Amino acid sequence: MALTFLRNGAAYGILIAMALSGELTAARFVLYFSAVGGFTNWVVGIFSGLGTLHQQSLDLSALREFLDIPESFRFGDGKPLPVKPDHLYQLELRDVSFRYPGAEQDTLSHVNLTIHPGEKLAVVGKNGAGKTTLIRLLCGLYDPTKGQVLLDGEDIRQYDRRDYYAHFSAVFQQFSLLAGTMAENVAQSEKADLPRMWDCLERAGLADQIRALPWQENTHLGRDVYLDGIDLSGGQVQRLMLARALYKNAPIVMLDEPTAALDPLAESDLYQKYNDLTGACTSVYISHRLASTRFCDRVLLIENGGIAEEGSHEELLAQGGHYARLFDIQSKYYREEETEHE
Amino acid sequence: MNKEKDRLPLKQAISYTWRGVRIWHNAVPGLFPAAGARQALTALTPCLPLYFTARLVNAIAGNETPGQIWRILLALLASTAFAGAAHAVAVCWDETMRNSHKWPAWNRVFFQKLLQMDFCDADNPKTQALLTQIEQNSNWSAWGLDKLYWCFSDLSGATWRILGAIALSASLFALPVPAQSPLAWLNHPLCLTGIAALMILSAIATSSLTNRANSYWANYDGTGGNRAFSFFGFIAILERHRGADIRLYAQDRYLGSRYITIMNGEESFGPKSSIGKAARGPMGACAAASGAVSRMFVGVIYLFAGLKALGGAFGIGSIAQYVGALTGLIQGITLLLETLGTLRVNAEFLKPVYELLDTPNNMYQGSLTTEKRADRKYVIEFKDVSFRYPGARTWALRHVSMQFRVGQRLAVVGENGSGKTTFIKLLCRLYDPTEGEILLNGIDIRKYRYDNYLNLFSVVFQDFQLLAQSLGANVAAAEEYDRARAEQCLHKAGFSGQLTKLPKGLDTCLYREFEDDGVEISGGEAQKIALARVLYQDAPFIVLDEPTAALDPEAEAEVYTHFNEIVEDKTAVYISHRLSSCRFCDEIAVFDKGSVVQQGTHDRLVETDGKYRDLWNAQAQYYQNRENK
Repeated sequence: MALTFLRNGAAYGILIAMALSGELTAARFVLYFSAVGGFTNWVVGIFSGLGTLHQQSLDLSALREFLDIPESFRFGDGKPLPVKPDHLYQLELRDVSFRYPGAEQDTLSHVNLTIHPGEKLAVVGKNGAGKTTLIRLLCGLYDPTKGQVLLDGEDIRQYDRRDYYAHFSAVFQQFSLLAGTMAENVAQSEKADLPRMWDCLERAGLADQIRALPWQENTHLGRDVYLDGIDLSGGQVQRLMLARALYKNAPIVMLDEPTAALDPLAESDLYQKYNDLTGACTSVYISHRLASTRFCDRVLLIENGGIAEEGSHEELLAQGGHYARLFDIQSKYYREEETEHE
Repeated sequence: MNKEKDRLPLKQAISYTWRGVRIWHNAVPGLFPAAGARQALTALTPCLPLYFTARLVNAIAGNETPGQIWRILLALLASTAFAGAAHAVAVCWDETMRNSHKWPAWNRVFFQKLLQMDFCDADNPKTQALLTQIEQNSNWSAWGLDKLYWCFSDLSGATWRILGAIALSASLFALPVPAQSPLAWLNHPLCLTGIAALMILSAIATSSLTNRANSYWANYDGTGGNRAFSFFGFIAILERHRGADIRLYAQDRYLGSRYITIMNGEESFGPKSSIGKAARGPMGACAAASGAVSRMFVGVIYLFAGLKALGGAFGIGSIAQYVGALTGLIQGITLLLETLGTLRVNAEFLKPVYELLDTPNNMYQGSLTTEKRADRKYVIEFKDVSFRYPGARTWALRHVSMQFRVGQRLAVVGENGSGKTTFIKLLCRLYDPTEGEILLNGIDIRKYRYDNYLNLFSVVFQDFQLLAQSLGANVAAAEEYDRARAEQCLHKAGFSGQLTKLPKGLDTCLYREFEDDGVEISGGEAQKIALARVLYQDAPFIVLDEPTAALDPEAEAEVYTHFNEIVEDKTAVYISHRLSSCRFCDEIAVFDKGSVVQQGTHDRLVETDGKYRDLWNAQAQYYQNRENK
């Protein structure tokens, strides 16, 4: 404030003195007077503008940092990898270790695993043991910190990552529902092959319920965008995600706790359908419900960053190790009733 | 989409607006004064230099004494300096109010109402729809309460500008051209009234044209386009949990294509939408016409003032003052009329706000206290209770009669949608039954004090929430708590192993919303903390809805084995799909399509032909074959 006072005072004082002494006419005085006023305003404007630019640039730098994050996957510059129809794939983890960024320890350490073509693999283990990490490595969502992930013997890093993703149908615990119609959610596209979609909905056990909706498969899911959308229950959403995985019809199927929200009858129904659902595909199934492992060819127990036990359900029970103990714990309450009968 | 809004009657619009102003004033007392002060100073500050400069130039042209001139200069500098300082302070104050206080206050108004509402209303989709509508109106174009602030700002600004302008320009009309001048006709009253009339007409024309242009905007419901824009442009991409699916299902193709289709469509706000076309058509024409009219008027003023100065009514320096003043006057009147127009339209958007805020509390609340009983002898009975959700066609519960024995462990099982969670909600009195009654120690629960009754229950729902506060605060559901007790509850819930690993122990913040060093907790850990929360509350009734869904077998077994310790002598209700939990409950209630179809102990039910046996076998079969090998 004081500076403004001085600045204005000095400028105006000089002009007035000049006007008084007759060097400036009144008209000239007005001209210079407003020029001085204007000049100071505009210079202030420039500095204030520069200040705002500087502030915005600081905010922009967060965006710049984000855009500059290096891309370690290959996309357009990777080898193309079309999905081979009716081909059974083999997945392999070769001496794979993985550590989350900023973590102190490896989540998985020196894991060697070969999933044979057409094999159905179950993965069990405590929460936080690394089951989800294992799946993400197999799907190519993460690259291992050490070691290789191989598809049919070839390191997946050389391929266009999008092509690699096309090989997988997945139902994870966290999923992305689209604010579109039911059909669009199953087909993941604006144009759905309706016969195929209904077939997948039948197999997932959701077809009747969708048919009962006011606009059937054209009913909008959720009210995020369309006010006439409907919300599905937890169990129904899980079935919808299953139908989506079936529709994609990819050669490798990944299921992570797909029956968590289902009641016992629905859960049992799904187990029965499991072979039907996965068909001849190579598949990986994570579950806490050890009952589900009997539908798989092989079971892995993940513990302490690696595969602690592996084998078929019967083999592991016979081994009497940690898996057998887990199974015991879960089945205890279901079995006691039998002993009472005997 | 354009839809003509039915205009509210003027009286109602005024009362709505006034109520909104009172709401703001209660929420943020300094909001309107700050805006008023800022607008006053912004309007008046340029007037001072205008006035003094004119005097200065007149003094110089009129050859006044140097002393006089220096005095005027000093007055000019001092007043400008003080006015500038005051203006800066007022701007600061207003900006702070606007940026830091307004938005949280706006949120608080609605949150407080939602918390106060009966649960059946808060849970009602209708309420959610109202809230969404209010939020979207606000996001779209600040319609609703937000607009009141801006309108008030504009109104004050307009008023002060008008007052200041009148003060400065009064002399334009008052000072006469000397009679001997050939331009003396300018003094004629007709001339003056002519100019004044032109000014008023111009103001009216400008503001009505602008209001017409704005009406396209006000009538346009862009909330649909906005929702689509938010979802396809932001939510669907940025939400973290969508990452895996986006990649594996190549959702970027779908999202990108939908985004473009929608943004180019009629209903959004892109160039091809109906509002975009209106902007290039009638809306734009009105805005342009409005600007043209006001510029033309400025031209007329210049002419008038110039002629008068030529005629000798006042000095050259004053021309700039008068032109400046009158331009300000016109702008002020235009702004005033426009703002009034906006307020009229905005009243319509206040309707959903008041509908929400006026939701009555319909649940009858009695005054009986539930005595604190050390023996925990609370007997609850359902007497022929039927319930239907508001607006639903089917019954969620039908003729449920049940009595809870004190200290009993009740398991509730059934298929999805059979009414289990609804049953719990009625038990806790989140809803009142549609038919029948629920009794506590023989008295209808409606006769008790609501908060007393709620305190009888500790519940873990399926969709429980933990807050981004410290672990201890989450367990105690309070900021101040008994640390030893919180630790003990965590231990009973099976969390002590994880607790020792946390660097800050009970003070560790959950989630990263507020603290950088907050921890992300897994689903299983969250369930244990929720369980600890129930234990801390130590209420006579414990209700657990799927408490082990996210736990691995060992953690689940831990909960089962410690169930006795966890429940102690309380009455417990346990809903679960894991029927193994039925083994340690005293009684099982089997729900099917809203009714209790079977009730009894596990041993008896498993022998009877019925729903329970079906459910049990569906699960047990996979665990029993071991013996057969």
